[in-house]
Amino acid sequence: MNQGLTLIGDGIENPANALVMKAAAAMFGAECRFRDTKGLNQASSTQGGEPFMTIEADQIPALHGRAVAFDNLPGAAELYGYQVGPDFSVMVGNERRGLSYECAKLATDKVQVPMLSRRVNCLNVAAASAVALYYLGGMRVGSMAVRGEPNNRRPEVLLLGAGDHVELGSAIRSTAAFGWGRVFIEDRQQIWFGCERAVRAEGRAAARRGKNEILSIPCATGATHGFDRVTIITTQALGAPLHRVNLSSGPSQLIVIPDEKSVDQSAETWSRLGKEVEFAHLQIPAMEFPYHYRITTTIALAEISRQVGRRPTAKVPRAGRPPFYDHRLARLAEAAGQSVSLEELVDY
Amino acid sequence: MRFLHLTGPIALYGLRTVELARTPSVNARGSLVFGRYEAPGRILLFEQQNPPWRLPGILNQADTNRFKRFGATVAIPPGSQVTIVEWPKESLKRFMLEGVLVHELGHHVLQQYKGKRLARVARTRDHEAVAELFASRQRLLVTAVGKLAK
Repeated sequence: MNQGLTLIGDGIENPANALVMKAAAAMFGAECRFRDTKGLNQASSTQGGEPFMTIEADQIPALHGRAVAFDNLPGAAELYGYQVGPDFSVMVGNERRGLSYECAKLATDKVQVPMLSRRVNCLNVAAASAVALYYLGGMRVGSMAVRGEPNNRRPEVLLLGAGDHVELGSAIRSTAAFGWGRVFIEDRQQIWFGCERAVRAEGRAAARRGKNEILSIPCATGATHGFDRVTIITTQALGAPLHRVNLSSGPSQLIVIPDEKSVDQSAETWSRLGKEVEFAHLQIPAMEFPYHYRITTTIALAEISRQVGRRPTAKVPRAGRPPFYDHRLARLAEAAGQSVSLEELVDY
Repeated sequence: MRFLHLTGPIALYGLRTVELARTPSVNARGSLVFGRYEAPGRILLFEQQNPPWRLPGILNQADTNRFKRFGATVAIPPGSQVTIVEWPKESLKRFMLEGVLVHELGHHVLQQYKGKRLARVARTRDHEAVAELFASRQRLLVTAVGKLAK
């Protein structure tokens, strides 16, 4: 357990989100506590779950030297490249309302992850927690790239074999929020296409399908693709660390994010996806942790989004200063000082 | 005001203010600043110290001649590196009006009649040359009609 790191959920309502947040904290060796103002523990006990560890607002400053408010608050800095030090707590807010005023005013740092979608402007709270812990918990990366045409660098994404419809829905939500307009889905478990009504409704709700306009393209199981470069992102120590791999090669590159719970990676024929296949892995400190597809997907997409970058912010040209002309003496001190001969100097 | 009207309406059209102002912060070389034209239509005449002026260094010949033209006496004490400029009677006032103010009006005329009053319409060197040409013509004109004669 990393004693210097605590994840705090402020007013989380959904016990399922709280569970995934606990899993995210476990991935990074952090403690996870909840400020229970929305009846989280009551809802959890109703569903037969265990109670969550709670914390009060006035206890938060005593936990660590710094408290990071992770929300799209006014004046929040960008997550990428942000250095907060070794001893801090991360506060994330309610699913609908975000961080409460009581917690926001305790924050020593305000950080947000840049969202590129106009329609989906936030991530699932558990997925966002994982992204925050990944980047703030010691990952040294640069800031988000700035390019003229970032979409030319945006690779295609294939979500492969997801086993849970809510996890897949949250992953699709993250894909849209990070700026993708379409995503390939290889739906082996039939949880997204052609599923029963209840599953479909829950999955679409997790994906915020009401305002999420992303085009989800079904891919047949085992279908062959012709991408120049295929990058498979996994939590296993395969290939290079994620941030060292070029994930911004444009539409000729396919990023594959398999659900490691339901896909046996060693049995897959990756060469069917493209010519050149490489692996990249998330650098996760814990050896064993509860796997959630939305967490790995969102972290991977956040890193791709960082590398793909965004357009430069438009600069308003400053009004030029009107010209002025001074009337002054051009050369006032032409020969300041005094001439001294060598003899005078020697006599002196 | 009376002097301004002597220069004629061409120079005055579009002129907003003529201000007597404190000397701006001087640059490292400590050169004297007499006036400034700020587009559009603002002329600043800066305060000057009481004569005689003790200027460090030797004044160059062009400035020496210019001061002398307006009635100043320029002297360099032997063996020193100081220039002493004396402005007898109202010669300093004459220099500020005929030498500086008219020069600034020349800047204004160029800026005003180019039609681009907020833009830099000429290189600084050319702007100064046009302003000095305008000033010299105005001085000749005014002198010729004797309107500035006391």
